[in-house]
Amino acid sequence: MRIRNFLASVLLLFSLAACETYTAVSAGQSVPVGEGITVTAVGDWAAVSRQFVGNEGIDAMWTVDGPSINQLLFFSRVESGEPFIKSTNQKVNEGLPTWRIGMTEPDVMEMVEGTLVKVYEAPVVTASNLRPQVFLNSPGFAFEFDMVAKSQLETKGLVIGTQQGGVLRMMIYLAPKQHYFTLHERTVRAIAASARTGSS
Amino acid sequence: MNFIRFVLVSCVALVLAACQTTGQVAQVRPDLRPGDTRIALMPMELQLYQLTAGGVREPKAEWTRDAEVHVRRAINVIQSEKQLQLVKFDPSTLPLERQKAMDQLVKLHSVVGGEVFLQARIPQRRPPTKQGRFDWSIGSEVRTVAEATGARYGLFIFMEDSYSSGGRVALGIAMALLGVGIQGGQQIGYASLVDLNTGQIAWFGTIARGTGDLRTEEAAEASVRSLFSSLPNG
Amino acid sequence: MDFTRRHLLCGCAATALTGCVSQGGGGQIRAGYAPSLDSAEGGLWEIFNKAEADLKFSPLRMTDEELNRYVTDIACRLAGKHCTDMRVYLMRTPFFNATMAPNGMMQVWSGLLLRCQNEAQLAAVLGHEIGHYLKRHSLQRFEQMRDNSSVAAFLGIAIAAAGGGALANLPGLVAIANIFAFSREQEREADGVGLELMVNAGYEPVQAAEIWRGLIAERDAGLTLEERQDQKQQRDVFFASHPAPADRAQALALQAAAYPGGKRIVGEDRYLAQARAFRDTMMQDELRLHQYDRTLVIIERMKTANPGDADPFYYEGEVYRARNDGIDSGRAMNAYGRALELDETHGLSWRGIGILHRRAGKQEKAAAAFRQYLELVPDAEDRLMIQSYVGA
Ligand SMILES: [Zn+2]
Repeated sequence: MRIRNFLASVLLLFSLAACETYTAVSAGQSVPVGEGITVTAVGDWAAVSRQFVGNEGIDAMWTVDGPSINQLLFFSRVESGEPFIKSTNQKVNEGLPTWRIGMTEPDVMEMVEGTLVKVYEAPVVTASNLRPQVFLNSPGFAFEFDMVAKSQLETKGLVIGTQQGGVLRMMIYLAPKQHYFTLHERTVRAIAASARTGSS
Repeated sequence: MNFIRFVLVSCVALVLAACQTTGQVAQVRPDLRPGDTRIALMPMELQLYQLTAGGVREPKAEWTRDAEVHVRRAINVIQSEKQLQLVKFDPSTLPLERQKAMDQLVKLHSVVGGEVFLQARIPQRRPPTKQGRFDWSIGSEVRTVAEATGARYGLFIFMEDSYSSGGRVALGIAMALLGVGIQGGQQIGYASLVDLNTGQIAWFGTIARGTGDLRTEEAAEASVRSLFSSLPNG
Repeated sequence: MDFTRRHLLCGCAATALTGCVSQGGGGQIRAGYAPSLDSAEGGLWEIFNKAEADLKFSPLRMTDEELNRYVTDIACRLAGKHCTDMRVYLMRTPFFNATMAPNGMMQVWSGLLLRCQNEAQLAAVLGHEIGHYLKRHSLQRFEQMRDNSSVAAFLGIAIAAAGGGALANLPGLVAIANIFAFSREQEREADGVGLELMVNAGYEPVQAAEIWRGLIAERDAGLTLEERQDQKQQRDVFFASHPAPADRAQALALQAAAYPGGKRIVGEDRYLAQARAFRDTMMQDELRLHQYDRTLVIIERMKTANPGDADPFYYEGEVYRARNDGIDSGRAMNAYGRALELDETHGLSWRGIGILHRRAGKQEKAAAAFRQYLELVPDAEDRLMIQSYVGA
């Protein structure tokens, strides 16, 4: 039993050694993030490799300082009737709110709150300052949210998205409220502004 | 944030790295001139565990309390050797709102320190954005500590140690997590010196090894010495 | 497997962990008691002392002085000479739960405050928790587990539960809670002690049964008879060591009846008056959980408690608007309309109406409703978005 576990972990290590954890995304570089969206990096970022992303539904995860500190998540194509993200913990996925065609922006904001509560297992998520914002050359929305993460550290998020062509396209930036959120907020906004439909 | 896989990888690598004794990461040289550089000792995060036969970690309050005494004593030794001027930071004298902010500051450092530690110990964990010079900050909230203590730097310490119920064999989190029963195990920890004007981490020391015992005074001193080995003298 | 439903059932399952502890399970704890550090109990206390230091500054803590004083006073009246051995922490966590750690750290979650209908019901839950403390049930539990290497898991979970937010990992917590739950014997004992404390403090003991009945109603809401059976089967697997809420309500009602009658405190008005200032926050947290049928049960209770209150109708509208199944839009529209009949300045109801019209493509009607909303709630969080709809 013990030996089998040990072997399994050694195998795991070898399989991991074979793949890179990150890919560099240098300032000015245009990179596809999921289906049909290309963004141009403002500042240097690191794209987290697929197998380390964890939660389902995230088309790309970027970080500057490390994924336990900040994450920029891209959701390029959420279909009607689907949740935009799913946890690796199946138990919390039951009854996840879904995005639906015809939702208004306040509906989408509430859907995001209700989803984060479950997927991030945070008792309280409160969104604020919902406003119109052009995203991918289309009318869209933006809002912030406050969340208390499992560590009891106050976390802040910025959501920018648009509902066009029968899908929801969205990006979420997450970081500790202290210091880190504002540290990269401006570059995140600039990356959002650079987003274009189509692959590069 | 879901990083089970990260944690697993980290743990496996950590275990393999455990044969090294100590390791430090790049640093901005802190200004530690003797006599006029006060350092505020932030609330320490220390936890000792007993590993049960089943390989799970049971927190041991008594050991932890002993370890705290030993670690404090060892820090005092190092303080006089390196001619540092340590002062205690007691957040409980601040108004409640400030206390809350300090609690969040310590939690932020905990998250940042954990990430720095992993990146220092596991090359794969370090993103390309962090390959260059050592550049880490916990923000300007640290000024509250400077105001309360008159200190130039804040010292954050985190240490964790596990022992099997049978004897001296320490076993790491990683092993416990993976359920792997290897003899050896480890002690992990980091110490971080934060510039209280800027929030920048000026020096960061780590320890991850299969030996050591914070329950006894001598061994604890050796561990703390190892943790601080790369800190320049004042 | 709906964890929140199951969680609701156990009510006190998470409690079992943070629960209560004792020395060798012997007798009642004495006032002012603190164990020596080198005992198993001392170790356990130390761990919870640390957790408590963390909890004190948790961003989830509800720090309103008046509300804290109100709940603490009730706990104190129940605990009598043990009053100073306990500290009450009100946590903004939208599930029904209260916990008591072995060291006297008591947590009361906002989801419980939202569901209590009067002071006696809150006192019943607090009394039950104090019962676990007085009888040191968690130490008994802890000692039983020392032998089978589950201790670390027990503590890990206990600490997670103690952390309030950390417990956000509810499914995991509940799963393990079920394994480590107090025994039926202990639960019964805590119920008995709780009831006695209630009566001694002058409360109406029948309310102890009422709170469980309320939870049963919530659990069964929106389920067919068959599904309810299924729930029961699940519960039998997961709550083998827990009294079923129905049995519990019945046992409590019987015991309550054994106390001599007389004028006893129910305290509906003063409870609702205290909770009122936090009701909207608690309801918004509840609505975010998207457990529509259960939320509707809470709303019905609110309507009964105060028929002239516009808010419950607004909340009803919010539930149907979020669920958006079949004829839910119509139901939501009716509910918002009813809220506005009761209070024509209910701006948030206008917001709901605006959203429903906009979804239906009725832009002019939507704009008219949104204008009302913006006028009545000038500092609305979504003001800029709504203005863009109105074209202002
Ligand atoms: Zn109980």
